[in-house]
Formats: sequence, C-alpha cells, structure tokens
Amino acid sequence: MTHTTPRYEFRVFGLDSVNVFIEALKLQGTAGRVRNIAEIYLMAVGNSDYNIKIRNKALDIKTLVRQENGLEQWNPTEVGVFPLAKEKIKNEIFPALGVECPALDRDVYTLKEFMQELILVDPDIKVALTEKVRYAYDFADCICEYAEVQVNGALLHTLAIESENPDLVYNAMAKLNIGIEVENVNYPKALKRVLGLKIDYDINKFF
Amino acid sequence: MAKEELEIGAISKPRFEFRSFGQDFEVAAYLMSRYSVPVPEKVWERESEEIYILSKTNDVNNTKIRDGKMDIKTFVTSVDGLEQWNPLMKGEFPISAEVLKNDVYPAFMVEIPNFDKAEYTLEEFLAMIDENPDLQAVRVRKERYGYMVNDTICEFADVLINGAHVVSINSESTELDDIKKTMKDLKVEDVENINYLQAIKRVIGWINKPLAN
Repeated sequence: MTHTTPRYEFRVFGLDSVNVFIEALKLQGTAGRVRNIAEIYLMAVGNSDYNIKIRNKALDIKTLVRQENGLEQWNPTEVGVFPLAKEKIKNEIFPALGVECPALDRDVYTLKEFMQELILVDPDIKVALTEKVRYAYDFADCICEYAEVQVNGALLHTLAIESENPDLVYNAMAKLNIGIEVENVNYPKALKRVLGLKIDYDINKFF
Repeated sequence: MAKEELEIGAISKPRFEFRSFGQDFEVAAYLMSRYSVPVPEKVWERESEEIYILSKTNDVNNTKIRDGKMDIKTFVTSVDGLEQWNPLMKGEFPISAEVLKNDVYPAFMVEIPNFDKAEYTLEEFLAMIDENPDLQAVRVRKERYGYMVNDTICEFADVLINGAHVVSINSESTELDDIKKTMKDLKVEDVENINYLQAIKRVIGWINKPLAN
C-alpha cells in the first residue's frame, strides 16, 4: 500500500533470535489481520537502496530515503501493474536495479515476458520467490507485524515496527526489549544473505 | 549373496540414497522414530557447521568443508530415482595448490585459476571462491537425528541454508529394496528425491524449482 509520508522502519530477521521479540509482540500487541502473500523480489549485488518486488502482477519500488540512528525510512512507489510499457522498465525498474537495461524488443511486457526475457536471463539480477504469512499488530502507536517468510522454500521469521515518528519506533523497540545492538535488516538485505549475494557472515567460526 | 549389514558411521560399499528437503516432514519423522531400531547414542543428535561450495557449471560433484576438512563426492548413478555418490577426494586446510589445481578445481568444472602460493588456508580458499562468479560458498548448519529403519541409515534434520530453515529426511543403504520399503513405510514414496546440491541451489536461486513442500 502506498502512503504519503515515508515511515521509519525497524526490522529483524532470523529464527530463534527473533522469536523472543515475536512472543513479546504477541503478549503486548493487539492482533490484526493475517495475510498470505506471495511476492517476487528482484535484486542485484550493487543495489542496496531500492526494494523491488512484484505482488499480484503489480511492481513496487521502495526507495531508501535515509538511515538514522538505526532506523530506515523508505518511500514506496507503485510503478504499475503488468503488462508494463517498455519506458517504465527502462526508466524506472532497471535504474533501480542498478543493472544496464538490455535492448527492449517489445513495446509492452507481460509479467511472464518481463521475467523470462529480461530478468531470469540476466546474470546480474537475482530473484527470490517469497511466500509470507504476515500477522499484523497494533502496538505502542506503531504498525507492527511478524511474519513467517519462505525464501525460495527456506524459512525465516521477521518482525517489523513502523511509524512516521521515529521516537514511537524506538519506544516500541524498548517495550519489546530490542536493544540497540540488534541489527536493523531490511528485506533486500535479508534475502541477499540467503541467496549468498552478500558475504558478510561470520566466517571465523569455521577456522 | 548376503547383504552387507550397515553400521552408522562405518565405511561400506557405495550407498544409494533417498533424500528430500522441504518445510514439513513431520509424519515421516514420526514414523521414522517409531520404526527405527535403537541406534548408537553418538548418532542420536549431531550438530555441524559446514560450507558447501556450489558450482554453476555442474551438479555431479558435491564439495563441502567441515572442521577444516574438504570432502568431495561425485555422482555415480541413479537407479529407480535413488542416487549413488562416491568419495572423490578428501583434503585438509591448509591445502596445497597442487591439490586445488589437480583435484578441487577440476571437480568444480570451472576455469582453473593461477596459484601464486604453495598452499592455501581456508580463508584464502574462500576468497578465491568469492572471486569466481560461477562458484559460491554457502553456509549450512545441520542438526541431524539418526535412526535405522529396515536396515537403512535414516536421518531427520533441521538445516539452515545461509540462515534460512529447511527440513530434510533421508534413507540410505547399499540395498535399493530396503530404501524403497523405507520410503513406503515413511509415506514418502511420491516425494521428490532432492540432494543437498539441488536443495541449496534452489534456495539460493540458482535453480528455479520448489522444494518438496
């Protein structure tokens, strides 16, 4: 959903490490609706400022506006619903991916054509298929959720706190015992880690 | 000919294997635990941290590193959907450039790089892997629970692939019929045989196929 004022967001991914925060949210928050959502994420190694996903044939791009004291502010833009004109693909999607746009033979691309002819054949673009069960919560005047996310079939848990007011996010984090040492991990970063696009894990334990 | 009695952890003639990956093998795991004969305590629960080296250019050599040791298995054959893999080489870090040049990189089936050192630490080796776009190191953490059903070595495992959770079950034996009976008993006859290489490639997006469930 597009909203006019970009929200500040804190998000964590993991399994056991996140479950303790999820349990705290369940205890203290007010449960909202539960949604099952399938989304396609498009990623490239060089891109960390854009979150590009396709849901129900609609492509959205969230742009990272700022990172401030551990929070991230993202601005969502609805690019459009497939079939998409080649101008949108050339001028909006590929620049966000940070990948050179190939020659576009069609004036309009269906989702299938876009994926098969432009995305899956490009070695610089990685695709993550996600299946999410999202549990919405109202908590501490913030929009919160936890979710079970399958990334290409492998499971992660995530918890997010969002508000237009960063102080409300900090307050909610404190109530859930999320300390400042906990890393804020957005969706592209988490997906890149699963796909191995970002080699930033602690390799030392293997030595 | 009498069939070879399997002993968990012992070296035997090459085994055939059924393995699959997904999110839910609860029924199979329950049945596995009920049909199993008692197994040695050392295989009740095992945890390990491993690094798999994936190559885009082949699916026939399986390279993993555990406790500073490299182990490469090669695909031999598939019979009735069950796969047989044989050890190809074992090495230990630091590893010599000669071994990397003659055994390891040929198994990756990628262009062999120039080696400017006589031997390589694991860290140096992983840096070389990182430089090659056709190769990728993947973290795999396993919690394995061992069983023995119908004289086949079985396990149920919680596996983290680059931190994301999947579940795996397997049955392996030198005897095809014993594995087939086990698959039937565990109600996984119709489940796709997915080996570690395939599962990891699917999760990291190199193969556009789903896991078993």
